Amino acid sequence: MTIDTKHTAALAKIAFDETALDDVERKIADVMKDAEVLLEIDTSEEESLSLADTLREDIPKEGNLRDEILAGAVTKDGCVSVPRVVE
Amino acid sequence: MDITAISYEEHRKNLDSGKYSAIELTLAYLEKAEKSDLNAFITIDRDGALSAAEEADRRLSLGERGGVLGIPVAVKDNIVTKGLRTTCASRMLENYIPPYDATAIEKLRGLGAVIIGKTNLDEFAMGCTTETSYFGRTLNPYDKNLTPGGSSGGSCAAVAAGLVPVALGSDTGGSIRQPAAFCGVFAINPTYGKVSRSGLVAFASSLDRIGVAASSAMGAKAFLSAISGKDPLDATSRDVPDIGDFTLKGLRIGIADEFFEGCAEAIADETLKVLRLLESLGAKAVKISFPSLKYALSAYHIISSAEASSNLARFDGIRYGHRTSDAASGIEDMITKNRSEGFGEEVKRRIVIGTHVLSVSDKDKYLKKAYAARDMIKADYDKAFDKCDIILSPTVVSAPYEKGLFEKSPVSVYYGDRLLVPSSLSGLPSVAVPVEGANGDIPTSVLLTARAGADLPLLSLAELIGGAE
Repeated sequence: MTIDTKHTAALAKIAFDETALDDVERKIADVMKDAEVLLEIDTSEEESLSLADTLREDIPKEGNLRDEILAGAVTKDGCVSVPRVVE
Repeated sequence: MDITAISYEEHRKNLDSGKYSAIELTLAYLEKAEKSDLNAFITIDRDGALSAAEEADRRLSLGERGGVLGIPVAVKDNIVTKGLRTTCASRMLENYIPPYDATAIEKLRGLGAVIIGKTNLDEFAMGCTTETSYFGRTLNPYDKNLTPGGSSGGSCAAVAAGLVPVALGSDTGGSIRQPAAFCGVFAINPTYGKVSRSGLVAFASSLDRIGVAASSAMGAKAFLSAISGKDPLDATSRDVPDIGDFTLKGLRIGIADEFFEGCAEAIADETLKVLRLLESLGAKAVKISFPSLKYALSAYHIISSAEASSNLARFDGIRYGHRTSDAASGIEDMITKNRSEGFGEEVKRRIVIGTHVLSVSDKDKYLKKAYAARDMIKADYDKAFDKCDIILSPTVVSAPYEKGLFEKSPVSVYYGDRLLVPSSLSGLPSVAVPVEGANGDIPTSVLLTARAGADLPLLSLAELIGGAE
């Protein structure tokens, strides 16, 4: 099983250093080769998933942490700053 | 007297009797941690620790006793601490100051534990040696050329070196138990759901757990009890009903031939020695079979990578996290640059594997099979626990890895977690118990696994084995 590393990485919005790509591909191939042992498992019978209801009550709590939350971001005038997204 | 050389239960007694204060105890550990060259800590919080110790002394003076009050503890740096930098050993979070505490931290602070600092790990807990840390590897206190294991290598090395008596770690596929084995300390990976994951930076949510490493089983017990319980902030958490202590007389210990395949002879011998010890105390060995073991590592890698690719999608470097200084042509380009510079290679490789197995073309091929394997592993445990009360195996199958091995061949190092991932995939509690002598001066470890809820009885049993060794 080979993975198109560059394409898949692009989907996940990451890129590898070109010089490291061969090594990266070899290491990924090693994991996927080991995973071939799973292919002998018969999964023809569908299992249904049952999910428990774990929603909690919708109760308003103290929020308003604007400054603390923005403390980790690049900001301008109290807003998160990003490159221009519209022409 | 070197007060850093003693374990939780002595500290408990001495703090409660006033033999020394929490401040004295905290200072002793802080000084040792600050002088240590093991690189076990990413951040040491002297001021925070001293003010927590002062508060603990005040509570002790008012007559409060027991638990974790005044006991110094280190915290793995993927568990968020309000106002205290939490990096996940990644460039991505190099300067991240969390605006909230993990539930486990909130509980520890409330009960008066003293957080000394944040320990090193493999980046985002992905790795087995701490060598994928952006902050450099932690050294094994027994031999600095060896790795301490990982990913909770900083926590376990800190405990082994007497820089703290107890540390929180996390375990996704062996991450607290394997370094505990390589550093010769006790560690528990508790029943899934027993400890809230709120504030544990997510790697693979169906597997991630916060665990405790300690120089004594009693220390692990006290801290596990302190952080346990259902939490509205983690929908998978629950109040796990505790099973009562095991009775040694007639205790059925399951052991499978499969556990010893590929295991170093000295470690196998130590495991059988523990079995004989337990037999001499009235337990009896029961042969069990674990045919699904051959699927466990691959099922683990497929499932954990899939969950990681989804969980780590949140790191875009926009609201927090690493922001590139390169010019970006637009927001997509900027996010790609932020992530590519912010994540190390091991993390990126796992994201690629996860993204691939979640893709429409291959989802059924790998992920569905991995889930089926997970069911088979759970079924093997169910069958085993019809015949036995606990399962005994080696924790690791080799001596600690030499530095550099992981970089050359990650899969050969992953293999060392083969006996740890089955209980991870099944949500079961297991405890790594240090035993002496398998690798010369370097200790090794046996693993005890039991049914959900057997956390505390497993630690009692660990205390007995550790004490008898």
